[in-house]
Amino acid sequence: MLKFVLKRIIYLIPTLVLVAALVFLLIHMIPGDPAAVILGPDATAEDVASVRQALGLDRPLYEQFVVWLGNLAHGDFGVSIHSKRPVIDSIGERFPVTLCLTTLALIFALVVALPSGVLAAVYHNTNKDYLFMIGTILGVSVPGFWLGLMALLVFSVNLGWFPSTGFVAMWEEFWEGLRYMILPAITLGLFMAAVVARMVRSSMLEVLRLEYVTHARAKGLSEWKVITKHALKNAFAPTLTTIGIQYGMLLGGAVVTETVFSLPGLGKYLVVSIYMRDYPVVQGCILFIALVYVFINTIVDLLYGYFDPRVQYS
Amino acid sequence: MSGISLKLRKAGLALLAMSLLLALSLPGLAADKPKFGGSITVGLNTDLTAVDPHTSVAVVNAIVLHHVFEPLLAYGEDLKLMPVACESWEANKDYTLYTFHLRKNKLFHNGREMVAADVKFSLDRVMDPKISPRAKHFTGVAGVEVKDKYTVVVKLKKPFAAFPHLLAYINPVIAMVPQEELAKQGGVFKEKPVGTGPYMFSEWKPDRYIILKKFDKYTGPTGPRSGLGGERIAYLDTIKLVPIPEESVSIMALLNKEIDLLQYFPPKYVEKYNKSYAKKGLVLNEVPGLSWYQIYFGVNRPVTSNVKFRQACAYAIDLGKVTQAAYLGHAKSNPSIIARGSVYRTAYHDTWYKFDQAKAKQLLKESGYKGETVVLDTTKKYIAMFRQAVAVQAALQAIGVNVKLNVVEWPVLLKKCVNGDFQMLSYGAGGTPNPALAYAYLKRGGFEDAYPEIKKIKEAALMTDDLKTLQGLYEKAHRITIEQVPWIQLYNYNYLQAHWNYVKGYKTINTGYPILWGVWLDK
Repeated sequence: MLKFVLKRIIYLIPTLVLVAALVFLLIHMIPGDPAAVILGPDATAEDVASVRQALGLDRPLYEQFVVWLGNLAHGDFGVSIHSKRPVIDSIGERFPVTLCLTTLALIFALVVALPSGVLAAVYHNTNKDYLFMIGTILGVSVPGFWLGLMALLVFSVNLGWFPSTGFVAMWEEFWEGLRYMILPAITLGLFMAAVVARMVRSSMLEVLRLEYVTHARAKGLSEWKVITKHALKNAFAPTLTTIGIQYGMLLGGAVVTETVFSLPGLGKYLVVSIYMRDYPVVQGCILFIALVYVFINTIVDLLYGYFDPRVQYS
Repeated sequence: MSGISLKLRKAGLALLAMSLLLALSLPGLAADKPKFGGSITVGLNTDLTAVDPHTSVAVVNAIVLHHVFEPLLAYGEDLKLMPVACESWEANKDYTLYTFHLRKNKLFHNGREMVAADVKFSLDRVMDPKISPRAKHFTGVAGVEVKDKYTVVVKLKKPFAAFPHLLAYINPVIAMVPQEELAKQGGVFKEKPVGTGPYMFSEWKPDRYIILKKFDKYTGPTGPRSGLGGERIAYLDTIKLVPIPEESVSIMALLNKEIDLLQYFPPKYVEKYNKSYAKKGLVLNEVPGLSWYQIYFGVNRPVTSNVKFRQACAYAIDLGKVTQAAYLGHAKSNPSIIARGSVYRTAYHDTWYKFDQAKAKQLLKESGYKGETVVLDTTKKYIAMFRQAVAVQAALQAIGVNVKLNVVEWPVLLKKCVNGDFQMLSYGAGGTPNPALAYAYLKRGGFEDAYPEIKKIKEAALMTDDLKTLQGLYEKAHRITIEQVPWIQLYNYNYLQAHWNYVKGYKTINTGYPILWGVWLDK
C-alpha cells in the first residue's frame, strides 16, 4: 500500500510539470493582453507597451516560463498582476469556499442518489423505476444557471427562507453559513445526484443478477440485508469511480453556481482572472485544481480496494 | 365695519394658513434633516481588483477608493474643477508653473497631517511607469517641488493649460498617499489602503464585501456638493459594498432589502420598476452620463480608408434607432464626443449626417465599393457594444454593405483597439471630461496620423483654458469629424441606480459613481 502511494506521488511530479507547461502556453496563446486590461478602454498603444515592459511581459516566453517554474519550485505561485497580492493567499482564501460548496453538494448528491438508485434497481421496470428515470433525466438536463435563479426566486424572494446573495463562512458561523450554502449546494449537487443515481441503478441491476445474491437470499437473509450488505457494497465500486470523476468536475462546475449565488469561490476567481488575463492567477489556480483532482483520484483508487477485494495494490 | 376689521380678519386667516402650512411641513422637515449613524449596504456589479489607487484603472476600484482617498482637484457636476485636498491653486501666465495651496490640518487615516511632502511623494509615484498606468500622461512634468509645509509647485516642460484636469482624473483617483504606510505594506497597498477621505478602508473579503468606516477626524472642502466636488460629510458610520455580478440576483437582493442601494440598475427592469417596484418604495434615479459609445473606422484599412465609404455609412445609420436598440431608450444620441451638459459643448455639436439611405447608396457607389466584406469587431462583455454593432450591421446591410460581425472577448477587443487593428470597431469608454484629452482617441484607427490637423487642434486646446477659445477649437474638431468621419459617435447612456426610499441625500452623478458622503438613512 505504502509503495503504491509513493509511486502515485512520484507519478504526480511529471503530471504537474506537464500541466504547468500546458497551462502556461495556453494562457499566453489566447489573444488579449493583461496590460491592455489594466489600462482600460482609454489606453494608447504606447501606454500598453510601457505597462508590458513594467510587468516583464515583453521578455521571451521561454524566459518567463523558466522564471515562473523556478518560483513554483520554491512554493511561490507569483503575484496577481491586478491586485498585487500573492496568488497562493488568494487561493487559500477561496478554495475553502469551493471545497465547502462541493462537499455539501456531494453529500446532497449521495443522500439522494444512493437510495433512489437502489430503489430503482429493486423495482426495475415498474412505475417507480420509470419515475426515477424521468427524475434523473430532468436532473441531468436542467441547466444549473437557470435552476439557481429559480431557486432564488422561489426560496429567497417569495418565501424569504434563504438569502439571495452574500456569504458567511461555515467555519466562522456554522448555522448561518449553512443557510447561505443550502441553495447553492442543492443546485450544484442535483446534476451529480442524477449521474450517480443512474450509475448506482445500473451497477445494482448487474449485481442483483449475480449468483452470490441468489445464494444470500437462499440462505434466508432478509431482502434489506441482501441489498445493503451484499449487493450494494459490490455495486458501489464502479460508482465510486464516477463519484471521483464527478467530484473533480464539481470543482469546475462550481463556477456557475458561485457566480449565481455570489460565492467567493475559486472557480469564479479563475474565470474572472481569465477574462482579465491575470496570467499568474490563472496558472496558479489551474495548477492547484489539477493537484486537487489528482489527489481525489488517488484517494478513490485507494478506496477501491476496500469495496472490491479483487483489487491489489502493487 | 371698517377696513381695519377686514384687514384684521385677512391677517388672521393668513396667520392660520401659515400655521397650518408649518404644522404640515414639520414632519417633512424632520425627515429631511440629515441623521448621523447607521450602516448602508450597496450592491456593486463586480468586486475590487486592487486597493492601491495608483496602480489600476478598473472603474470599481475608483468607485470605492474615491471614498478613501482624495485628489488635489475633482470635477463638479458641470465638469468645472473644484479643490479637494488643496484649498486653491493657480498657474503662471504661460501655464508652465502650477502652485497648489494645501488644506491645513487634513489628516491621513493614521492620524498624521498631510503636508506638501506627501503631495510630492504621491505625484512622483503617479509619474512612475512601474507603478502607475497613467504615468505616461504626466511626462510633461519637469518636477514637483515642496515650497513650504503647505505649498507645492509643479513645473512643466512646456505650457499645458489642461494640466489640472490630469489631477482630477475620475479613474484612477490621483490620490494623496502617506509614504510610511506604503513602506509598511511593501510599496503597494494590497489590503489596507490609507488615505485622507471621509471614510477609512476597514476590511476587504474578496468577492464577499468591502467595509468602509467613517473617519471621525475628517476635514475637507466646504460648499454645496456637486459631482465629486464640494462638501464631503460622512453621515453613515459604515458602508458595506457587496459585489453581485449577476444582474437578476442584484435585483432580487434589492427587493429583499439585503442591499439598500444598487449601483447599476439594468435597463430591462425599468418597466417592472414602473409597474410594481416603485409602489414598494424603491426610488430609481436616471441621470445622463458622460460615457460615450461609438463606431471607429480604421482609416488606413482596405475599404474603410475611403472617406466616401465612411460618409455613406454615416448617412445610413440612424443614430436614434441605434441608440434605442443599444440602450432600450435609456440613452441620448450624441454625434459629438463632448457630452451634453459639458461647458465646452455648443449647439454646433448636434450637427451630423441626417439619415438618408438614398444619399448613402449614392456615396457608396461613388466610393467604388464592390461588395467586399467589412469586418465590424465587437464584444458581448458590454452588451450595449454588441447591440449597437448588430444595429449598425443591419443599417449598413440595408444600403448594400457586406458587414460581418466579429464577436471577441473584451481583452481581445481592447488589444485591437489600442493597436488600431480593425476596419470597424464597436466600442465605448468612460467619460473624459476634458475634450482635448477625449479627441486624443482619434489616434485609434490611424486618423490622427492620417490627418495631422486634428492633432494641432488638440495641442492648441491643451495650451489654453479660455472657454471661448476652447469652444471654438472643439467646434473645429467636430467639423473635421463630420467631413472625414473617422468615427460615428452614437450616444451617451444614462446611469440608472436604485435605492430604497429611506436612503436620503443620495444623488446619481454624471460619472455614474455611487458617492456616499452626504447620504444618510431615515429608517
